[in-house]
Amino acid sequence: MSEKKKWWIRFLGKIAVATAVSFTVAVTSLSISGIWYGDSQTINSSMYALEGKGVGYDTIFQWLGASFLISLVSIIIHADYVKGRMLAFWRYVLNILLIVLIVTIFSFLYGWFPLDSAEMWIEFLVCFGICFGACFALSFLLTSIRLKAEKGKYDQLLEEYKKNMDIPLEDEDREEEAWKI
Amino acid sequence: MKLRINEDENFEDLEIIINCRQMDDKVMKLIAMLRVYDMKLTGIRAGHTYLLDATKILYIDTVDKKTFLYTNKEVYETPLKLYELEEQLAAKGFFRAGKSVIINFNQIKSLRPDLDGKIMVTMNNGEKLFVSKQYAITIKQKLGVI
Repeated sequence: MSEKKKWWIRFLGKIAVATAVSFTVAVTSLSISGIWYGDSQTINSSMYALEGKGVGYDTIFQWLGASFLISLVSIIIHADYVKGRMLAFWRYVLNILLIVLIVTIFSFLYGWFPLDSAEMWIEFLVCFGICFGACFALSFLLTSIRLKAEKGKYDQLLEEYKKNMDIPLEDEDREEEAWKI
Repeated sequence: MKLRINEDENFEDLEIIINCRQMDDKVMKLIAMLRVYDMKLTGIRAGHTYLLDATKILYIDTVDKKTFLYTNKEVYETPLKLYELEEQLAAKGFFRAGKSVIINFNQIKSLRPDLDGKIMVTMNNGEKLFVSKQYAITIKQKLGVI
């Protein structure tokens, strides 16, 4: 199989996994919020049109579309090509702004919440902030655990390498390093 | 530049004699290149020229088009370019760790994987250097991770 084909398979696989995760989080959050206050939000949002009895088919497909777009932009922003040209901080800022933009466009198209209501905007941003913060904290924790485990493995392999190659350890190496000529 | 080779069975060691009007930068560079062949490097510090054992060099980098050799205790300037050293020193465990740096793998104290596939390398003198994802592959290959 050609490298280009392998790259496309990996890229599409990443999008599929990210879309599945985003979609699961979105539908779960929507279901939880619907159980809590879906009855009172039927006027404000098309997502709660079934008055807390469930999530409509149309809403499910709308969220699938939004999840796909969110995953696509996130993967592009964190791709190696962009990583080498933009600091991690600015990549995350851009990622957040694009997610807010996608949700705003979907809200405008499908009436997820009234865009002229400051109260709804605050609610949306708070919910989004909590979800993003929780995901970020979880991801940070898992990454820290993974990196710590990898460090132990790398140091052990380095020690074995030095032993195999008969390289003197730092405190054993007392030979002169330079001579004046 | 004339190059003369005298072949004689009576010669015990390989000897290179340079005849020149004066020791200028060109001659210094030539000598430095010959030293690399012998795994020795010529370094200049505080106006004096030193002969360095390549295995004792921790890393080499380029700053403002000047190449510097870093040992445990000192920093020396060399007339050679980074690419000229890279190929010759590969046999001694040196590898490209960035656009302007080559590291002596045998002088690495510890490794710490970082975000974005980078690896933070701590040298034997405690200095920390970052190796980007592109060049971290060499480290992983040496360790047998990939």
